[in-house]
Amino acid sequence: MALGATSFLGSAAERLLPLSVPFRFFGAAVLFHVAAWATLVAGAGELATFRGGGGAVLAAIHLMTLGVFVMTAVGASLQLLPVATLQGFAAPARINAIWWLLNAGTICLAMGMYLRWHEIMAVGGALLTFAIGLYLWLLVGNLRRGGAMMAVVAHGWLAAGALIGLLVLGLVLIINTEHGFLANSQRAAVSHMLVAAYGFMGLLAMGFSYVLVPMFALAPMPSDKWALAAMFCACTGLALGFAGTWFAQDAWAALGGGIGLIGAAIYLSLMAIILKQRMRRKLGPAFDLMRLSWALLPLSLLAGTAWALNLLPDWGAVIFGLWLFGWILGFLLAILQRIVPFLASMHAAFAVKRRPPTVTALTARGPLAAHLYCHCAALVSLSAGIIWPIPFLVTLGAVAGLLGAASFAWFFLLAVLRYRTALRAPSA
Amino acid sequence: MHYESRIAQVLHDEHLRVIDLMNRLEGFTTGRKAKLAPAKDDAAAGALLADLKAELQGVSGHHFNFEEENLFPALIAVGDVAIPHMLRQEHDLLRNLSEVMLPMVQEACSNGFTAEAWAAFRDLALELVERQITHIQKEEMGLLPALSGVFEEQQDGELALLFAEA
Repeated sequence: MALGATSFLGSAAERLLPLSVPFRFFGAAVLFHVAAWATLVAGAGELATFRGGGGAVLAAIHLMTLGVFVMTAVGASLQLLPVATLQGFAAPARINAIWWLLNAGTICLAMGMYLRWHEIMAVGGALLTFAIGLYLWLLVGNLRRGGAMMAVVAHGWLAAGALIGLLVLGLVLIINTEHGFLANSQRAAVSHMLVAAYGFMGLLAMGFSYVLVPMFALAPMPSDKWALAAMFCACTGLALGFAGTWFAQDAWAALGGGIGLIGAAIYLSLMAIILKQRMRRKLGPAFDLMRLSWALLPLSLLAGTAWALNLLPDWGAVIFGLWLFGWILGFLLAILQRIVPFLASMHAAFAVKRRPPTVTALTARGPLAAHLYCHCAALVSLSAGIIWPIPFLVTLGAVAGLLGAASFAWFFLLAVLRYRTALRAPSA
Repeated sequence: MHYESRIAQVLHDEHLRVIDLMNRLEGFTTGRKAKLAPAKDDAAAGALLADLKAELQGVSGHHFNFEEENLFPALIAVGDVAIPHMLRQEHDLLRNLSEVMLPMVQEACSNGFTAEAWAAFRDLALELVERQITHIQKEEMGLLPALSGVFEEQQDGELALLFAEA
């Protein structure tokens, strides 16, 4: 086992945040997940031809990226990074402020985009700047002080850099909607998306995979050497993809996609090795969702590369975005459905003296199964509806996504209620 | 998976054995076939129940006692208080579950399962599987890697011998 695994749980108890801290972020992410799909239902007619600009689709994208992706990433990293770096955060007031600012900023920005109301978007952007600035302060401080898991910490540093990049580009795009100084705002928006999705979210997802997947599968962690090689390819590919998009050099962007594919191949091989070496035979339905999300990572890169080379018709851009977000969303929801009951069970073990609830007892399988079916139906229906194009299929896909999001919210609520019931049980 | 510490390697091998038993027990108590109690002359069920009986009678107990007497004090001495506390709580829970299950398994080994006994056994077996697996997850990710820095080489070897001899 790689040395990095040392003390992941060995020191977790000292660095286990109060359950309300990560759960506040996860709860908000679950609600924004519902809101994002509901907004997409409202804007389903515009999706197949979406090329940027305000409206329901742009609002839905930002409810998903900021409300679900960033909210989950902040909550999970606040819980997991202290364990990886062996350094606690110990900043409850700042964490509280981040949560409020992130929620208010996401709501304002999405509302401004939906209504095409520049002033509200600007307020949202300002609130998000404070939220992300505070989070970066905590993140960088934590990464500087510790370094037990080298590969995870390296991914954390690069994700922090990408977060700064996406924030700056996001603010530039907000200002540009009113003043229109960018030569090509569509290319700037795609660059912003690349840095946000492959940069910040992608690097965090890859970094935390090396800890969480071995833990859930009972398998050795992969070697740092290969994890860092995958990271190097991902970053090189992203840099080329970004530069190619920004400077209208499509060959660079396509080369970036190709190098990104090599990085994805290394990363997915490491995940396959972990699963092959696992001691736990049954992995549960979360891993079905995770495998689906892993399949979407190379598909998104292939679609992006083909789009850069003008090999795809008009729908190429939207399919690229859909599969890219499908990768991150599937991965995050798979991780959430494992860590929500796991964290609740660990906290219950400290609070309940006799027979604390098991992870299974805190996991509502019915809502998760419903979510998995709806999530798959949404991806298939949206892809088909965009490619052909059939507006009815796009609307159907968005409705399936909304039903899936509601099922996932039901799972989360039941986990919280079952945890509270266990704390109040007479045998406690 | 390979550990530098000999005692960590011995405990890891022991985990592999327990996980194999838990995987078998989980397969035995889930799925369509598990809706009905196994027949009394089912050889595979008999072999599994015999292994489970041995486990509940003391094999896990030996593992837990060894960790509590020899490893946790050393971890506490280097300042890691919480993990031994959490693992000890889980040991107590698993001991309690073993005590409840052992008479059921002994009865099943002698006379097979009634429909009611099978339903009760299945629930407890699945709870045992889950608690053992999550306990081993915590030991594999937290306890065993930490041991390489706690003991000198000679002491590490002596502990591995002590575990094997007991």
